[in-house]
Amino acid sequence: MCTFAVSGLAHYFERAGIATVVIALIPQHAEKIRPPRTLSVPFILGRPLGAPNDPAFQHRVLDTALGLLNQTDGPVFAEFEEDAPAVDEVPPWVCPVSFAQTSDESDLVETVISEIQLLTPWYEKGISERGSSSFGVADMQLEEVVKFLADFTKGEAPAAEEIPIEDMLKRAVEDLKAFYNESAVSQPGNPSAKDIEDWYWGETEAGKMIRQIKKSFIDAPVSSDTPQARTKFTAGFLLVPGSQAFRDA
Amino acid sequence: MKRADVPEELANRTAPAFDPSALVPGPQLNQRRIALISTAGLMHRGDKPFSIGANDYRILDTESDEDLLMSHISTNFDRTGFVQDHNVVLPLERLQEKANNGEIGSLARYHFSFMGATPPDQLEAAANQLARNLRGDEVNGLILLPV
Repeated sequence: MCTFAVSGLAHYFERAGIATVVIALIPQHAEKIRPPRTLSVPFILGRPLGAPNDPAFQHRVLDTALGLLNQTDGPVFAEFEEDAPAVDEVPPWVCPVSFAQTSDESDLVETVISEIQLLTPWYEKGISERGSSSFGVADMQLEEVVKFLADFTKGEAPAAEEIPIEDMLKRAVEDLKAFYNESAVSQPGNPSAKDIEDWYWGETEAGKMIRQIKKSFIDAPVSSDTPQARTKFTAGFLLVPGSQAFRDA
Repeated sequence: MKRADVPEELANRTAPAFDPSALVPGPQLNQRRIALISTAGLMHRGDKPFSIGANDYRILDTESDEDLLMSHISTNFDRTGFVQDHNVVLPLERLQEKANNGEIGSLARYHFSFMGATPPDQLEAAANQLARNLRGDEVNGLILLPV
């Protein structure tokens, strides 16, 4: 829905006297709102510049977008024709960290923390190389995140304190995923976004824990407009990507 | 996405209606001051994360030492590109390079992020308020970037 948002925002800024150009990831959405100037790009959602760590490619996208700014007869719709460079995976990426398998739910926290310990050297390598981390939206330590999330796997939301519990749930889930994402991209090989997504949701205990939260809440009977109902919505629709729903269908 | 790859249900979602906007003229690119508007739910570490229905924005200061975090509520987009290279979402380094070699006039110090799951008509008040700040900073070119 972000292409709707940038398209609408472009109207507001342009009407306020500032020239705009929208990079659109869903061309059909830009065509509905018709912002002043649009460059549609063929990249996956989440990558408006197409390719990480490819400055030359990113410059080409920006050059094309900036080239539209001086057009005053619109709305302008242009398309960026070049695909993002293919990920070179020879051999196919496999996470080199082997995780122990367990089915004992009582060990859930311990199992996920064991996974995290195995991945931590890669996570720290990534921080060292990039100088930053995207972990930390929930403002909890990683072990706290795991314990907090494990409490949701029975389909019951813990009591909220200052921040709505559904917001804390979402932030904790994304922090856990950020740790795994950063660990994965720091390992040898050149994994694609799909490789990492399939690994996280299909092979890690962390991913399975989040899927369990969704399953636990999806059929839970709740009264409307209660914290439990809002948590159910978040668990049902905002945690597991639609592209991974097949795993629990 | 490639047009043909957009699922029909996604492509056909309804959008609020907008009247056409007159396109603002301006100087040549090498005289423009450029800022970025993202809808990725970006924030500096320590800022308030975005929540469902958020209709405000966060300031992204190029001189801040705090990490950039992403607190978008959607789970249906890739975040692995962002963790490898922030420029794939917010291309500040690329634009600074363009400023350094004279392709654009300058890069603004401040950039801004909304959270793009909020319907655009609910962002009007914040956008109008932000536009005054941008004009005050003499920004005359905006690139808007979704995720």
